[in-house]
Amino acid sequence: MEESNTLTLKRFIILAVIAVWVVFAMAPLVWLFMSSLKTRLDLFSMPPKFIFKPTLHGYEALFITTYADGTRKVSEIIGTMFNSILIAGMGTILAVALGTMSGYAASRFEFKAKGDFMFFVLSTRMLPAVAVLVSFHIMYARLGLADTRFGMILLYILVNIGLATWIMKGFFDGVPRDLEEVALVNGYSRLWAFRKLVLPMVKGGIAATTGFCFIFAWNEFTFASIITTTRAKTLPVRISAALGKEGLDWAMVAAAGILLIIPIVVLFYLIRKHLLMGMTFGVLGKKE
Amino acid sequence: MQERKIPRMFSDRAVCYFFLFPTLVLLLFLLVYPFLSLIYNSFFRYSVLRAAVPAKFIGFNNYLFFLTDDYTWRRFVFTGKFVLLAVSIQFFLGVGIAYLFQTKFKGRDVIFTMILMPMMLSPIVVGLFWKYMFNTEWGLVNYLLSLVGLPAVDWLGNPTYSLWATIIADTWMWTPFTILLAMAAFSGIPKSLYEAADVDGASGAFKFFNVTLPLSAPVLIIALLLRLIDSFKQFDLFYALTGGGPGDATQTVSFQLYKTAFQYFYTGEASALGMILLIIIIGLSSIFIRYLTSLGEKQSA
Amino acid sequence: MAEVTLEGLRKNYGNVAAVKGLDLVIKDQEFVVLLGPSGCGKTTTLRCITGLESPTGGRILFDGKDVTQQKPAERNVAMVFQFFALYPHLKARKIITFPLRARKASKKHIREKVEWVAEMFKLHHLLDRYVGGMPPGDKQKIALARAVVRDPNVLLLDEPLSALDEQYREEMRWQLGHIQKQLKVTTVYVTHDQREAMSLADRIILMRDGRIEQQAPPDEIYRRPANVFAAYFIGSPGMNLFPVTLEDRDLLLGKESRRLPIPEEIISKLAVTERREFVMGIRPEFLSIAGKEAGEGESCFPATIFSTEQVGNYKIFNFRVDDEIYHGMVRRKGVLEGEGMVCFDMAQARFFNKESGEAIF
Repeated sequence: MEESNTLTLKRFIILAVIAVWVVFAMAPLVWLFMSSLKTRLDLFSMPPKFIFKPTLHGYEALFITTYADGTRKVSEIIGTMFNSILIAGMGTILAVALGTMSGYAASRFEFKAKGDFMFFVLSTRMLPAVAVLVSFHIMYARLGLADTRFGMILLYILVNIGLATWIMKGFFDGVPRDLEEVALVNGYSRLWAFRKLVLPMVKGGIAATTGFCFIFAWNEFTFASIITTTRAKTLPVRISAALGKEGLDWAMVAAAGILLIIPIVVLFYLIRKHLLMGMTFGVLGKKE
Repeated sequence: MQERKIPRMFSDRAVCYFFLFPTLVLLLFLLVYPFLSLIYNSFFRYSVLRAAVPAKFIGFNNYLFFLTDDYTWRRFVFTGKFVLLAVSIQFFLGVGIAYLFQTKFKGRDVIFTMILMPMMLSPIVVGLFWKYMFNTEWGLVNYLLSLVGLPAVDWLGNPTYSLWATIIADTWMWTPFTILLAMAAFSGIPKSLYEAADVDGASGAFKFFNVTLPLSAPVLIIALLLRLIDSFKQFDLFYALTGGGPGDATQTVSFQLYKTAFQYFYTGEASALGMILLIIIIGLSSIFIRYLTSLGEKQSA
Repeated sequence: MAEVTLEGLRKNYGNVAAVKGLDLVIKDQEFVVLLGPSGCGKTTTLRCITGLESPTGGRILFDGKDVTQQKPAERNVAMVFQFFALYPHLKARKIITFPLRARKASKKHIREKVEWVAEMFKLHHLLDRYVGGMPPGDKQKIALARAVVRDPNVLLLDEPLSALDEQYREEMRWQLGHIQKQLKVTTVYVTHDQREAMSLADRIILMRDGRIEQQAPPDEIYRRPANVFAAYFIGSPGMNLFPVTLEDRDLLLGKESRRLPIPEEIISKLAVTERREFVMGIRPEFLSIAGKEAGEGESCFPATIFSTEQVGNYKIFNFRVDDEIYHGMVRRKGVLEGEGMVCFDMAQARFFNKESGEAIF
């Protein structure tokens, strides 16, 4: 039977349950946003205030540090943000570049131990970060990479390269081989065909992969919490440092949380069509 | 006319290896070495803090220590409890909500996208605002409980409740993952199969259990396995939400490892625990991979 | 078993009307084939009878009882889908018993029914296998078995043979007809393949553009097409349609106005219509080739045969009149190409109104 638009009882119940879930899913984010705009008094009032006079004091506290003697300085959060953008950004670009190359190779060529290679690549996504971190900690200290942006970029390539390879392989699989074969038959080189024919066709795929990798790098905490201390500190580490302290300026922390979330929300919106692929290493949701 | 000369500089084989090389080198450097060093260190009594003290080879003692240690076992039990509870709750909720989303209504796609968002957020931030909302005195959760006449709950101070606090936060964050995959599974079922069932007189429930569920099982199992693996190694959400507390009530294996390595700096012991964790994850992952491969074979058959 | 009545059935998809007011009575135990080109509304009609689509207007009655608002299950109809719609996760036995299990039939009843249907379709060896690797013919049998296992009021088939190989198709077609007669179930069969329609139907419902063009038994629809569309659509190749003009008791063919000698009685019949222009339809098998000279009284005219093709025992020859290509079919060997006389068996000719396309006689 066709979907009728009449509001039957069954339909009403279904929509009601969905509505409840939407509220559950969205309320914490709305609450966080509201908190970032509250004064200290409003924050801790009970019952909680849903209507209040918004203030940007949390955001101000986040960006400007006021010292005891009354001097005001731009807070270190600016440097932290710069670190996060640079490290996540560079790590993402490199991971996507390498993943695009290896994904293409995996999609088009047969090579020795291909299955093992792909499994090996996939394993980077399964690894418990904390377990490897023990060794990384030592290795990075010896190599002088600890608390360097370069070291962190290297790490974030590692975090994302498996994902990038698998998703990109999925996108390349969706591009018909004839495309390159025609070019090869006509005397063009494989590299030319890759650059001029295949890459333009997976532009959307590359964009989506970039989105995913950036989100994961931007959110990454476990590695960053140990490898970075000051110079290369990223936003999640900075926020977590605030967590332990009691009597904390929650509005400021909430503001930092919002700051961290905004780029994710934007990227999430842009890559929404590819979510399935991104969350399952391209195992599901392939677009043929 | 002069013949166009486009040199075919590289053979396909050369291109292939050239494309694979950087990824391979990076992975070897960044994975294999740490892995070997993890194994190596796990056989020594060693601390990075006391680098001057020479490492002492103690064989399997580090492993034996953890395997016979009651405290560690309790960590495993807690981790297992958390994983089983959280994953099964998320699984049922996710499948259920995806099923409800089969109903068409205005703005369905937008709302569907919206509810998927939590899984993309930083676990640190998620932990942060749940910690805020779970606050006993002025948290939103207790306020809502008080509205329906329930007493305030000490969410993060009482071990029983703190387990549930972590489960609720994890469920909030990761149910969308199951929703996403279940939705994909459901929409992959051909419409004609439902029509055939309608004609054959199947009721809604009969269709769900005899058509929808079995046909979406492959994808649902993928979802389940991935969630098992991910929640087993979950660390950052705990770090932000409970800090392992109260006391060590919500300390997972990952968390214990983190503390052993970076709070007490028992590097050797931590390496052994890391190996144990790795072996479990590899075990789970290989089930996952084997399952995927068998699915692939079935499809090609 | 039931008699199915459609009263002014209409179905719109948005602004597109797929079925435009269909009136049809399908008698109990009758085998009716809905035939027509794709997009003619035949599948939509079938789905409305099944209950998978709810009509925009009109009524559907089973044995006089209005079922328009009933769900498929309540109508006790069975349907065979174009691509079988078999459950890949179930063994054949479970697929066949699905309708029985859905209705919570007793174990004993289910066992008996499976035995009965397996015997009828000779599919004992398939019962404990999954359908995944089966050839389409076997899948088809299972789909049919599932459809008839619960004694449906009406059996509905949506292009059931189109997914089969040519070879299987013949066999299944025969079996299908046989089983329908055995079960005596009212059957509605949708196809675009006129051969299936011709061999299976008690009555063909020829449809175009959401309307019925003609409904008649196969033989009649072939011999006496009700209009130009039916004439051309049925038959392979279809009926030749020549534009002709009646002038002073002479029938002139084509632009060049070649005079065609024809019997007086036909001229008289045409004359009463007080029209001058007609479409003359004649099936290829009623065309023949005479030598250079036509005999007295025969309706022949000179034409150039530009190509031929062998179809089994027959030879189809193609010729042109005014840029239009026409076909004839003869049982003759040897070279036919070249100049010749094409002769009509005028007793088999049919005349249509040039404007409306309706048959005159």
